[in-house]
Amino acid sequence: MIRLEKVSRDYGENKVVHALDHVDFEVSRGERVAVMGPSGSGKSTILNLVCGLDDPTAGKVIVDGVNLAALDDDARTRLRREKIGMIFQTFNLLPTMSAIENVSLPLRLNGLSKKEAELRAGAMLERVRLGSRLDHRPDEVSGGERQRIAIARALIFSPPVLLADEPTGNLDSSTGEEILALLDDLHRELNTTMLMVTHNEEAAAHCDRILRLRDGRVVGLTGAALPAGEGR
Amino acid sequence: MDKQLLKDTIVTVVDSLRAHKLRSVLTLIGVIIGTSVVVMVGAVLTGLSERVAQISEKSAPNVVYFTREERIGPSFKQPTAEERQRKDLTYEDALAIAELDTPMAVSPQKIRGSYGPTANKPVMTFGGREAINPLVLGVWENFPDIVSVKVDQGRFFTQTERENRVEVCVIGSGIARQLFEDDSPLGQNVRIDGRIFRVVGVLEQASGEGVIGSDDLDERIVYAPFETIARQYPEIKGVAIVVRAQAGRIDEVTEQATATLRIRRNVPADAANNFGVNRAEAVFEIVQQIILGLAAIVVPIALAGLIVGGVGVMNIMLVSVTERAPEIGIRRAIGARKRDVLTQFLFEAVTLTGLGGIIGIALGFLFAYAIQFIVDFPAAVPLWAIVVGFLSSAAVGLVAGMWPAIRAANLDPVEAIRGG
Repeated sequence: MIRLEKVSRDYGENKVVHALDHVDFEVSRGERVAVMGPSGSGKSTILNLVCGLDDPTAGKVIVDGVNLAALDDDARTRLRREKIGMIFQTFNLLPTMSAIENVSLPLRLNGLSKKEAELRAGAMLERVRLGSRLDHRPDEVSGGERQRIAIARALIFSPPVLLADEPTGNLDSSTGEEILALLDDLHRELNTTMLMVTHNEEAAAHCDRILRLRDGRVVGLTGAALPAGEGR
Repeated sequence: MDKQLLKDTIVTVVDSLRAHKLRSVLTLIGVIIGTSVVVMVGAVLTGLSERVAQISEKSAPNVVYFTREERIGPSFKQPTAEERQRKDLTYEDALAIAELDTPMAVSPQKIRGSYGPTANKPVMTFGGREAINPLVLGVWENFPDIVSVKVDQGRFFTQTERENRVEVCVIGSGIARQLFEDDSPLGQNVRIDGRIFRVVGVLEQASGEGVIGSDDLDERIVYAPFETIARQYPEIKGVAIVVRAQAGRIDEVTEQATATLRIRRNVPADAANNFGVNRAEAVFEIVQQIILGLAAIVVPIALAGLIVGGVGVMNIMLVSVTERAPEIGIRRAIGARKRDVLTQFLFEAVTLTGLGGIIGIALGFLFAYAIQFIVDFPAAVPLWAIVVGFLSSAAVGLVAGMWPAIRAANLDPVEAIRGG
């Protein structure tokens, strides 16, 4: 589903920083992989490359059989609209929009009517147990609820790929555990391929495998690849 | 962009404006002022123009006055040396014009008094009362057919009275009030400069509408037979000649009468007229041109105000792009294309200034009608002012929003999500 072939990403011109250095790995359909490593090890860079918001300096990034280097900006945007859901450490909800508007936004960008989009967004928010918070804005709900809104937004169009950047990083441990349990449930339901950047070993334990990075290099890949759909 | 997306964009934009109310209002002040000035100026000029047209309609269409001086009526200009040396127009000139085929009616006119204020006004009395600044016109009996003169009581004088130089007169309603109050003036003898005239008619009261306020000229007029005035006032040498043409033939009549006068006054072919040719309509045409000229100056000035508003909009939009960088980044991350972001920001700018335009138009209406209410002036908001006001405000948004929108669309999503 996701394959990185000898991917390098350098930043800067004079003093070059190697954010990623010849990284090779593959994630199968339905598999969940945690990406771990200290700050600056290149974890977030991997996510940016996989969703096509950033380009590798060398190597290939292949998502669902398509080499992203071959896609122009519009085609990558379409890829994100149709195949990639994203959740972030800081939730990244639009502050002026209500929960239901935030969740329906990807559908509306895909051309659905407001009515149809909000109908589906409402159902999705019910699914993440926020049925009573539809018209609340992000600043009117708790951190855990915000992340649940963000998860609803990421999964509203049933993307085959979910990218998660420290989804529990800004939450206390019990709320974090709740979020991870929710992700487990949704994974059982939707069989979404997930790449999750995290510092948290407990969060990583929810994944099938753990990719460890240091200074832009893969220093370890633990856990056996499990057949699709058999996540823990 | 399909219809649904358009609708959604508008909803998004309105939401976003609602979220920044104070800023939106501040941004809009320039646009609101610019648009309201366009509408107000349009309303005032149109009102003025309509009023002038009404008066022009009322005051003797198809009539031309030939005079010794260049212009009739009150003038701030002293006559030139050339004008002062001119020969008077004569009774015989009037007869010559009357013999042309085309005119409908011709009358010579001797004037005792002045259109404007004067030190040498005629003294007109009855009993112990005196009329205020009367204007005595010696004319032919056909004068009511030339200029719209309506007799309210009694009658106009007759051809026989004129030919026999009978001392009769028809007086304006103002003079009737001043000399007779509520009594009937008919058959009464008044004194004009000491000579006795019998009142045979009273004119209809003037409607009282000038360009601004009322004009009392009709109120203080006294018509008397031309021949009578000519005998009583031998010192008034010249005449004015008043000619009325059939509808639509005024140009032809003016041309022919002018040619006749030029021949009679020996004007060389290449020289200018040595007499005045005055047409009521021509005067109003000049006024209309002045109004158009004013519009041509004032409207662009108001539009310049709009441009200043546009600079404000651009400034605020640039700030907004920087401030909302994370939002832009998020949108891009979850599937908005560059052109979706561009369209969103352009739409915001156009909606913002268009909204300002609508508020400005509403304010312009208010001001225009306030003016009408306060100074009794016919302000009418013309369609062009609304269209120009709205379109130019929307255009300001489009132009001012372009650069910020391009910047927003080209932000690096990864950087933008982190806050620019």
